[in-house]
Amino acid sequence: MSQEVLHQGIGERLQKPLRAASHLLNLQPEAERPQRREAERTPPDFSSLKTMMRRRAFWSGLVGGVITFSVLVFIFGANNLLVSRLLSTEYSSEVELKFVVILLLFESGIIFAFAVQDRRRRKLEDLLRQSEDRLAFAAKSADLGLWSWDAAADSFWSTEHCNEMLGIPANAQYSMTTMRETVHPDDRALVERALKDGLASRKTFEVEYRANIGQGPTRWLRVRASTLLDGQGKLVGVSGTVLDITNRRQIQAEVETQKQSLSHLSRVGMLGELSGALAHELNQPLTAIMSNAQAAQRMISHRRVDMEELRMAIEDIIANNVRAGDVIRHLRALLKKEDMRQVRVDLNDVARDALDLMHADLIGRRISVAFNPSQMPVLVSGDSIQLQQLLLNLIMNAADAISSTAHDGGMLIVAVDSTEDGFQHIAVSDTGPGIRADLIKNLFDPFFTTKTHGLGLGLSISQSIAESHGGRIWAENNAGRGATFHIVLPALLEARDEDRAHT
Amino acid sequence: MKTERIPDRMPQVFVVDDDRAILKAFSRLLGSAGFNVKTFDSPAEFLGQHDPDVPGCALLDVGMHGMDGLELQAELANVGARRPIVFVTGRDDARTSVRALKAGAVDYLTKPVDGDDLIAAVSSALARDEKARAQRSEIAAIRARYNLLTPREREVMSHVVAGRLNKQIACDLGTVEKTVKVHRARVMAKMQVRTVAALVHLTERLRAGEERI
Repeated sequence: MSQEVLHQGIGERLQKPLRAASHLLNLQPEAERPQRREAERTPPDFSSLKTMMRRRAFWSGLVGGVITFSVLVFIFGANNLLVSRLLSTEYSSEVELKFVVILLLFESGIIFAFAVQDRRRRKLEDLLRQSEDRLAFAAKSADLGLWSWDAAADSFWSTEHCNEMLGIPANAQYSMTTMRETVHPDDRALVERALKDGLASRKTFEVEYRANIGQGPTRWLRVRASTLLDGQGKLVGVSGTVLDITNRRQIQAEVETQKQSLSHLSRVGMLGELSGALAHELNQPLTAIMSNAQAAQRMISHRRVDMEELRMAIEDIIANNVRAGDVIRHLRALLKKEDMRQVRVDLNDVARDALDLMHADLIGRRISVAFNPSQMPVLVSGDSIQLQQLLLNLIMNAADAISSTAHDGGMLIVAVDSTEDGFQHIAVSDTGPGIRADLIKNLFDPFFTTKTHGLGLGLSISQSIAESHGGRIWAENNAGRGATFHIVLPALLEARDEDRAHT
Repeated sequence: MKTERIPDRMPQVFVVDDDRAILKAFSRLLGSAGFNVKTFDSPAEFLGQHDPDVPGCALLDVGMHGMDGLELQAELANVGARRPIVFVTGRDDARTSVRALKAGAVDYLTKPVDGDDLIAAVSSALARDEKARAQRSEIAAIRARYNLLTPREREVMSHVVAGRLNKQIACDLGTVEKTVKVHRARVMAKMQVRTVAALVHLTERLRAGEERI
């Protein structure tokens, strides 16, 4: 194997400059170019690639072997012929003798050369093995598995550690099919797509997937790979690394869970602060239900019952019951601890719901509200509960800021719009005291607070919500009074027919 | 309490709440109890259409956008409308209730409010309005009679009410007893009373009413 590797190595080393030169001189046959372009456009077909590689290896081996063999046969044959002639005849000329000696010397030279080459080869082999060992050791120390796939033979070369990670016996020979089977069924499509894209683009590619290893627990692997090309730029295989990222994934998942818990706790705390306002939200429909029901009772006790009026009273009871139910559902959703769900969300609705929830609280604090929704839906892909939490947080902060200064009300403005560069934007402005310039950059730090109550987690959580939606949040002081908090989130791009289906 | 009502002067219950569901429900409940109800979904609308001469009371929500119930109460007092007010609130806030009652509110109810309590509160507010209006119209009538008196007659009347005798009054005013008697008879006729006691009663009512106004 090592000799093959050597030959290949030398060949490649030579081919590279040659290829570069031929590129420079534009020596490539005209006919080949469109073919290459074709190959670049469509992802290569594995089976045809394999047979082509096989055929090429076979012919180059055959031709080389035949040439070397015939040269050796010629030299040795000629010498033997001359020696046998010398031995069979009594007289031999000095010239012939000299020639025989020269040939013998030449022969021994060849044998010596072979011996030297063999020694050198062994030495190189040793060096190569050492280097390979070093590489394997380094790779193993870095917890990396190394592998390379030969397209022609459809076989994998891999380090032991790589096999260990893939759950394949140490020295097993395996094919792409075996490799595919190690991928968790749910991730197969993902891996296939990464492979296909990588092969088509011929760039280094990376994919993280779950591996099914025997009966053991599912492991997370990260595979980085790059395509191997031959002199003509044809694909001969893929090589790369495998890294077990199960621990990292677990830690990530734990961090995510912690974040969710924290965000949930802060949401619960926030609702606690709003409990008065929330009670009011429930009280309104309950009051309407009570009054309608008692009105109906009185109507019935009259001698002449106005059935139409009675029917309307009952309808209103039902409508208010639905309204109370909606408040409870809304609360329950906010109180629920759920993983982030990405759905289609209209930020106009998010802002309206948050303001509805705060309605009584804002009235109680004598804060007037201006809501400027966008005329068009302002769509993002995200978790509506988290986005509402984000907005509630900003509105509560704004209300606190306003209450901290003026005794006689103030103004809160919530505006929703779309920017021209594909982002959706919400701005929450207040007429409070504004933010001290030296504190503006610390606003979003955890446990940073200027209030006497609260943990200082609200804005930090708001930031992590904005960022987990691929957006950002920042604050600035207004030209006049107060401050404005801005949120931008990437717009949800929808196909037209999808849009139609929703509306 | 009088039971007869002049049709265009029927007492009204003005309900002001920015929550239409509540507005409708209160209107229905009060309607079922036989009240005449008018609803307004904003304090501004109510103030815009307010006619202080229409008898009745107001049922106001405390927490409203723009102007809250207490501000509306103050605004009504500013324009001189002495309309009895019943407050309904979503949040039980002692300070607000004290402020409201101090400013003359009839009652301060917390949502969800029981229908009977609401009807009772509205009834007593209407009764208070009716009583106040009756008093005001009575005083206005006494005032009208009093306005018929000449300055001299008023002078004589104040002395009569003070319990002085005719000759004492004549002495005080520098005239003869006979003239005082004539003035006195005119005062009694114009004020439509027969006895001095009744006259004293009238002037006391007038003074008390003017003080309240």
